[in-house]
Amino acid sequence: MPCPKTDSFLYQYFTGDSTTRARLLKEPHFSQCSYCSEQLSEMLAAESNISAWEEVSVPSWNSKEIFNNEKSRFPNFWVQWIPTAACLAMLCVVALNLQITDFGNGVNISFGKQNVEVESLIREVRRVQELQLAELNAALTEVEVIRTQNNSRLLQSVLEQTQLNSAQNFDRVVRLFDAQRVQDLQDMRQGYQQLVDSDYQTLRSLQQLASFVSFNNGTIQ
Amino acid sequence: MQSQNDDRDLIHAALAGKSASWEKLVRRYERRVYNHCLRLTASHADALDLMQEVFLGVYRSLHTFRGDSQFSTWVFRIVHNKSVDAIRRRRSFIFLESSSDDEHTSDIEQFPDDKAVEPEATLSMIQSNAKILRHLDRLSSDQRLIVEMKLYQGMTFEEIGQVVRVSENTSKTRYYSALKKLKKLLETPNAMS
Repeated sequence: MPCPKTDSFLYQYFTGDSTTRARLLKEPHFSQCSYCSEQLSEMLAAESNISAWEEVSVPSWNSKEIFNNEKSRFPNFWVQWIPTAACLAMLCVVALNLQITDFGNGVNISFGKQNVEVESLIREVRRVQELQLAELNAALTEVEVIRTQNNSRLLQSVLEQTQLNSAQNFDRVVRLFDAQRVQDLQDMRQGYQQLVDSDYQTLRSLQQLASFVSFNNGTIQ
Repeated sequence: MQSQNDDRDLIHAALAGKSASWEKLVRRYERRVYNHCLRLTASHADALDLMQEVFLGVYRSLHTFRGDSQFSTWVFRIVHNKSVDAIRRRRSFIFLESSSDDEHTSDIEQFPDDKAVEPEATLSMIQSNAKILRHLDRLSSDQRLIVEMKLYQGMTFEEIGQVVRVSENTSKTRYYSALKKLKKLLETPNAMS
């Protein structure tokens, strides 16, 4: 006749340790209930049936093969971190030594530590540039004055030679010379401007050369 | 405790590159692992493959063993994972495919190459083991793996819970259900023959 305690009893028995098992077997209910005893015997039979596996010996195999194969794949545990470390080192070099210099007319990106000589050289180049510009302007003014004086002298000599005394002829000649003078001045300004532009280009090349030289010095240091 | 310390020494030595220590470690566990694989695959060749896969996994994870649990429990966690993978991969092993026990033939019923063993004893062993495999085959994969760990590996329910990543009570319940199912199979005529 089924017993309501069987399932709980068997669960405790088969999931308990040896002490629990011994205690349960000593319980009065177990010695009195034939159903519980019968169920226990059947479960024990099933358990021992399954436990009766006879161990099979392991076929020969080469466990060292795993060891050797894996060892050759990763010769050293730390070796696998080398690429990561190299990338980090590169990143640090780039982040810490990157230098951006603004020249006013452009930006120069370079690596290496800040070079004081380069900065002073650039300052010197700028100073020379400004001086040259001022000298060019002064020379231009001076040339204009000389040209005007020359024109006046030329006009005076022409007048003397041609003996022209009529006011009409005089005005016409003055206008002609004046127009000529203006044209000459314009041509001259244009010529000087070209000269200044080419001078700027020369200065820019000089700046780039200075940066290049300083960069090379930085890497050598 | 002595064995645990020995295991740790062997692990450190193996990690330091001593192949002899690795081999000693493998020899210590290979029999248990192989028989587990054999019960799971019912094939000597498949069991050997699975065992090699397990030890490869053990070697690759060896540096992660922190010693929080026993090394055997840690190894059987890998064994369990590989077994679950194997079950998923193959879905069913030879016993599951066979509907009739009479028609069943697997290489577990072949004689091993061990010349030292008496042929009659071997035959008896083979038949007995084949019968057990047929019983185990009737269990679900969860129940089967828990019976494996409890009955054959002698693990506690707490350890089983750690390996399978379920609570201790769940592993107890699964084990008890498996036993009840096995008892029923015993009662059914021809089921255990």
